[in-house]
Amino acid sequence: MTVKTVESKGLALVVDDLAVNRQVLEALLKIEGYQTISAEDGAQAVQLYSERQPDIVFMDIGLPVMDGFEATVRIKALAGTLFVPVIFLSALSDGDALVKCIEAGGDDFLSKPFKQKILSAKIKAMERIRNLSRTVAMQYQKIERLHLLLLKEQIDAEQIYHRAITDDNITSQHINSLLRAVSTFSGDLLLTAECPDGTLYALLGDFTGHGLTAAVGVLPVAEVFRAMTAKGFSPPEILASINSKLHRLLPTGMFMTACFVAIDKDLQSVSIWNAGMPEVLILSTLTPDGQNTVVKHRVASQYLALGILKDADMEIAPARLGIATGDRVLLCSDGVTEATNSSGEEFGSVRYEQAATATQNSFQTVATALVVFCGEQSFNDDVSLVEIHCMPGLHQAGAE
Amino acid sequence: MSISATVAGNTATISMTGRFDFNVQRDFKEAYAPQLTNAAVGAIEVNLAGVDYLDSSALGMLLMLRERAAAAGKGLKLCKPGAGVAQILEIANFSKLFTIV
Repeated sequence: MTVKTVESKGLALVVDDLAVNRQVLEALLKIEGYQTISAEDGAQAVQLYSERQPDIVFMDIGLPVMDGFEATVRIKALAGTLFVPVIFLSALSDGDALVKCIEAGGDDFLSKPFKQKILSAKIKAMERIRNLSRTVAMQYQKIERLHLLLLKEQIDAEQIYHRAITDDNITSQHINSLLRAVSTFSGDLLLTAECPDGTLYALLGDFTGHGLTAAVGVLPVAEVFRAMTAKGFSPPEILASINSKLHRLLPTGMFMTACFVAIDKDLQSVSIWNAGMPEVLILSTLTPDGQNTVVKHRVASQYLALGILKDADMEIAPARLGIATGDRVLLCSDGVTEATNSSGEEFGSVRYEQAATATQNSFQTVATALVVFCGEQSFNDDVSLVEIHCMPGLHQAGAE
Repeated sequence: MSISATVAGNTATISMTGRFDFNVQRDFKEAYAPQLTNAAVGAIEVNLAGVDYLDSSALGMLLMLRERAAAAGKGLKLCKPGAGVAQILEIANFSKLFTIV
């Protein structure tokens, strides 16, 4: 490490194969306030640079072992993002020589015989640039540190959030979900709970945007859902409450699309409210061998997303749909249908339905098809895919 | 995305072409804001004929415009959506909030 005294402006490396030249330059540099070290050839110069990290380098061109151009290339590579000025020394003063020097990575050119005034001026110019480069490097490190702190904060907050939301969800082998957030916080939300009368409620929500602003509404919605489900309120009542809450909470232009699924305890019927989400598919496998999976029912969006109007417009009560044991309810957020591959093509609802009906294992087939389709392309929106398999044992309370 | 605003009679038409997404936010606001305070304008139309892509942030921007147009006492219509855009507006059930022609 360079030991800098109060008077020393830094360490200069002088590279010239002639001792007399080195001595002349060293003397001038001492007057400028620099400590000096010197090398006789290019290889030695590179070696000294890596050992002592001088602040400025004066490089002759015609050197034994390794010439000045090659040595400069290596020294600049060692310096990396740090700015180390390299000033070439030459008996020539013509423009072509200067051009070659700059192309080799040098920063300036000092011609012999050396004049103190000129040396001084060139050093000053190099110092300015070097100081600028150091300030930039320091600022970059500071920014990087702050960014890492912020990221850690987000990750910690998200973990707390995540547990608060999902800890009370139903764990069941009959509920499959794929939830992938674009950033640390997800704007998609899956809530599941059972009513006192045994009906299973599932709510899939998708807040506008993604990241922290999208996730802000997640906790209030979860609390309303859980509290009202525990008291046995009906889905339209719960949706209306969530709508009011979000209308008050979210600014105009922000909302939550949602799908509410209520599956009766006897697995004979299901009711679905779709407010702005892609079609919900109820899939049925017709033959025992697992071939022939068809869409038994489809539920398109009939309601406005939640949080837009002061009073939710839920006057169209959805029909109760007949289902049978083994049927699957498949829901997804638009992050799935709008996922793009590297050519900019969208996965789309056609591919989605094709994958869903290809096998009886709809969830797995769609999930795989989506990942394969997108390939290297990462998701540009939060992705949620949920399948509820209507099987005995799905409803947990008071299993008879 | 290009946006232009023209006034004919007492209707201001904001025409858009290309992708209507979150990048367009400022330009969209700058196109409609003067029309809201223009006394000669009684109604605003958003011409979506050239729009090939609409996402949820665009829906959000339309909701903002709807609120501000109502506050300024101006009518608002969404016009000529292409098939793709019309489908997005339908899934969003925006016909409950907007006149779409």
